Amino acid sequence: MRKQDRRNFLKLSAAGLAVMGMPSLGFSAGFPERTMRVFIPTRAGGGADRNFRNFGGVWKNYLGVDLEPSFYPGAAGRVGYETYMGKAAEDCHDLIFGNMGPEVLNWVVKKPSFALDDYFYFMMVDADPGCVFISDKSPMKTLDDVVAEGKKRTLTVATSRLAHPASLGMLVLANKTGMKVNLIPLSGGKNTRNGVLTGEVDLGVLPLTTAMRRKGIKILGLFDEQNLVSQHTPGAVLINPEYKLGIPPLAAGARAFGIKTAAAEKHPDRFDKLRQTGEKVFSDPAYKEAVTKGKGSWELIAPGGVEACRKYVDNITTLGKEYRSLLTG
Amino acid sequence: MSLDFGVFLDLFVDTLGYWWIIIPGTVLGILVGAIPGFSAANTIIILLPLTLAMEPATGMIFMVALYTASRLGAGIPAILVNIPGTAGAAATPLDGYPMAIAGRGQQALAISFTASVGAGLITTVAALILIPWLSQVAFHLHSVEMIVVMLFGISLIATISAEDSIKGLIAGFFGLMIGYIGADVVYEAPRGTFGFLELYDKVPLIPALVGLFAISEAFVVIERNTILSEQGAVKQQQAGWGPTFEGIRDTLLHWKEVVWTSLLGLVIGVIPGAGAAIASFVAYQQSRMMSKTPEKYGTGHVPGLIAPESANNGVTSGTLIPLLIIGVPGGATAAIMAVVLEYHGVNFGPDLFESQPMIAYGSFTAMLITYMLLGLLILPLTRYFSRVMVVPTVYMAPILIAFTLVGSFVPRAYVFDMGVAIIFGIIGYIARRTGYHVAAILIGVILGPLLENYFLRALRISQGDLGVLFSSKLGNLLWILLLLSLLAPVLRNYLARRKAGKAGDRGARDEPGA
Amino acid sequence: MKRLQQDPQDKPRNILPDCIIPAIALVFTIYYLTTITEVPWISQASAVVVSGLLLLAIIAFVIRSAWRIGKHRETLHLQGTFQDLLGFMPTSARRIGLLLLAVAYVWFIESLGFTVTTFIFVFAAIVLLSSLANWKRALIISLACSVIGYIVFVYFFKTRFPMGPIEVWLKGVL
Repeated sequence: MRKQDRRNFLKLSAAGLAVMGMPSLGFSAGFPERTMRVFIPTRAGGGADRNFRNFGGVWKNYLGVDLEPSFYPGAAGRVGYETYMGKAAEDCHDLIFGNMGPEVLNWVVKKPSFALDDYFYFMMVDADPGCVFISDKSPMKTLDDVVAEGKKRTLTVATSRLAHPASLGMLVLANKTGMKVNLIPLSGGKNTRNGVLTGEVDLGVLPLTTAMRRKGIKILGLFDEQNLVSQHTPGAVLINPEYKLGIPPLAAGARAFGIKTAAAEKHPDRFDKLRQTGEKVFSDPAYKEAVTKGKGSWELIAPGGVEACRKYVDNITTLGKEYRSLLTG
Repeated sequence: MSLDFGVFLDLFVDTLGYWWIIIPGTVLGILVGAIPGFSAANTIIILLPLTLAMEPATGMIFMVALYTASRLGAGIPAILVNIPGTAGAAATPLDGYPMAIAGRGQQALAISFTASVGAGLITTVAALILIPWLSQVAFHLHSVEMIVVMLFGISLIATISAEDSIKGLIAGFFGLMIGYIGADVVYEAPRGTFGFLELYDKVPLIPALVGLFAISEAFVVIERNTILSEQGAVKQQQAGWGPTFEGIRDTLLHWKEVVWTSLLGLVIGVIPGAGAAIASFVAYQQSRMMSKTPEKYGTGHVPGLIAPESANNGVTSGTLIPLLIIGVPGGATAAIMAVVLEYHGVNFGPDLFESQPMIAYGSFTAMLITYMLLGLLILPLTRYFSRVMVVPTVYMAPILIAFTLVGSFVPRAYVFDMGVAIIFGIIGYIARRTGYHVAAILIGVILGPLLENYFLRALRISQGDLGVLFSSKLGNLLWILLLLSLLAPVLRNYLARRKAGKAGDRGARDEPGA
Repeated sequence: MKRLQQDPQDKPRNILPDCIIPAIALVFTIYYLTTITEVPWISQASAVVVSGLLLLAIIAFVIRSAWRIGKHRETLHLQGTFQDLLGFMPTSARRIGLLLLAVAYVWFIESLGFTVTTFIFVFAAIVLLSSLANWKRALIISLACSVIGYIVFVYFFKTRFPMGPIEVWLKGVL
């Protein structure tokens, strides 16, 4: 687990509790009174699904009810959010679980039908740094090779979609080094890996967990200031300090639970129960076991509260606005 | 990765030990295949909590059995009531349904099953032998080549609308335009969505499929007592086991057709992002093109049913190869299997065949066993399923509509999609009544977005240079083949006419339009 | 099914019903093109090409029809179009009724839930297509449809169908 984030999380949670004057669980004793509905704005079987299964599988023990996912893929997450904002009850039983980065970048490209502060994220689950990767058959072996090659010719770079933190990272890198890149959106992690593996494109960018520990793929660098999973990413450089990008760590996968602002305001006691019980999941060994059993990495689990989420969203939005023209064509 | 026979036999026997999971997988597969909307991929997703809890090999064998059987199941409603359960069966009703109307439903089912089982057995064995080569296919087929592969499928529009080519083309291009509804893959700009968010991700396929085929059909058939034609009804009444054996015999007589269309399916299955729909369209088109009697296609012609059914079963084994060897799933179902295997920390690659043969080879032996099991089921299934045909339309039409509207809902759980199915039902009904081919519309809807995806990707990679379309050797070879396959019928017509002209001098004209 | 073929020697065939699909296609295409005026050219390319081809095919259709009308092989008039399209009474009324029922089915499923709506739809449709004399059989079949549907889709496959009063009650009971 990321230490800083955890500290931050605990601090913020404590602050939250202090402000609320330690709300007794009595207020929310009857909550949750039905199955929690979790709207997921991506396809079943994807990265968010996996993360949700891991987390929800443990969280339900603390909430005392099941968490039932409903998947609303489409329009890069837009359908899921619109559905959530339109359909979700304002009683804290309905949450949204998504990947903040790409989904917030959607709003930079085109505003949704609802106001952006009608919902907020309150519990970040992981911080999965953006990474640059190549096929192990590629003639380029290091990120320096890539940069050098990119100064000679335009490199094709596979990405999940244009409006994605990983794409932004690549654009910033190209901008700083003077290399030329042509981002090729291939819709989703699987297709992006395939594009690189089959040699159709020169390299790719993705959230690290979607790319690492896959056959034939070599991770060249992370858009981060620390490498928490160096055992899985031999030789990967830290791009932000190495190439002096001047941007904050770019978590390309930052999954988080969000809730309607109105729901949290109407039922502060319930909202608090959600936060408190959710926090317990991170220290539950069952959760760690679930994460490590798959391809996930415990090291990348990064609990964050309302403030951490807001900070992340602000960073991505600022950067997205800067590169808006490249994202929208 | 080479496999000697002794090892294979051991594995085969080991896999037989999983009968307790293969049988339920097979039965469930037939069922979900036959229910429109319940693809194997959807079902596996629904059953994830179950499969994730199993041992990886058990889970994989279960998923393979289910997937294999679902392919066969999808042919049942496609033939009997003109509802392709999945896009992969979309070419099956072209000749299957006319047979069913004529009272040869039981025979058609037998043909479809025999072709499926035959194709499955052939391609599974072929896959085992050819694994090292087939796994390389994905490395050579990039966007440019895929554009041509898609065009092979789309050229079927021209072929099936031979009767009235102007109307056929209108239907096909209309279908393509419908297929372009939704956000484009590069900039995600919404296009032609009527303001519906539900259409951002393209027109949902299953509602379009059941609307165009089934719901329109339900509106049409109510003017008859049963789906069967009058002669068909008589024929059906008298049927015993005979038609089943006739169907099996028909298929065996066309064994060459089964072999080459199934191998075509195998190769297309290996290509990521291609899948069963394109395989069956291409197989149908090619089969018709090579036939001496192309005019019989679409009227209940045996090879016209064998081709798509063999091809889509060939895809089943093909789709697993790139998954197991290079970790690139060949299709949607394989992608879900990947999720399950990854959950268990299985590492794909050639070494998988050494480290976990029960998963790698076991997938194929399980497929073999499933096909054998399906072979045994041919007899009872064909005879009793075909009884559906005698249900009076006053009951059939309402059940069909309810059933397919439900099926439209299932994949995305949007009530909106049920509305989409009704809209397509209306379009399909008008098209049928006024001589436009619904299959031509459907091909456009299915393949249009795929074609566009690859086209946009190729253009994006080439930075807008259209020359990229002719930039690869393999691509150019495919272009030439496409051109040849389009010109061949014209050429043959011309030759036939010349020959007929000569023969006509002697007063013999036996094969008009051949 | 195959359109109602008429004998070529018979009176000229009315072409108006055949114009519906091209008309829908044309209207849709024009609408589509208005939605892509602002998007980057790469997102317009495919649609522009195909809409051009579609337009050509429609022009060819119009020219051919005009030629055939000139030759008195086809005509264009409103009279009889309805029957050509929907068939004669009572089939035409049943078709429209069935469509309305299907629309109502989709309309009400959100509020009444899967089971009840399916039951009412199947029952009403069977009665519409045959007659009330058949009500017992209609009842049995529609009951079977909704019960089997419930067991398969809602209970077994956990499909997220809209929950109506029955589903909520059953969920409590089971």
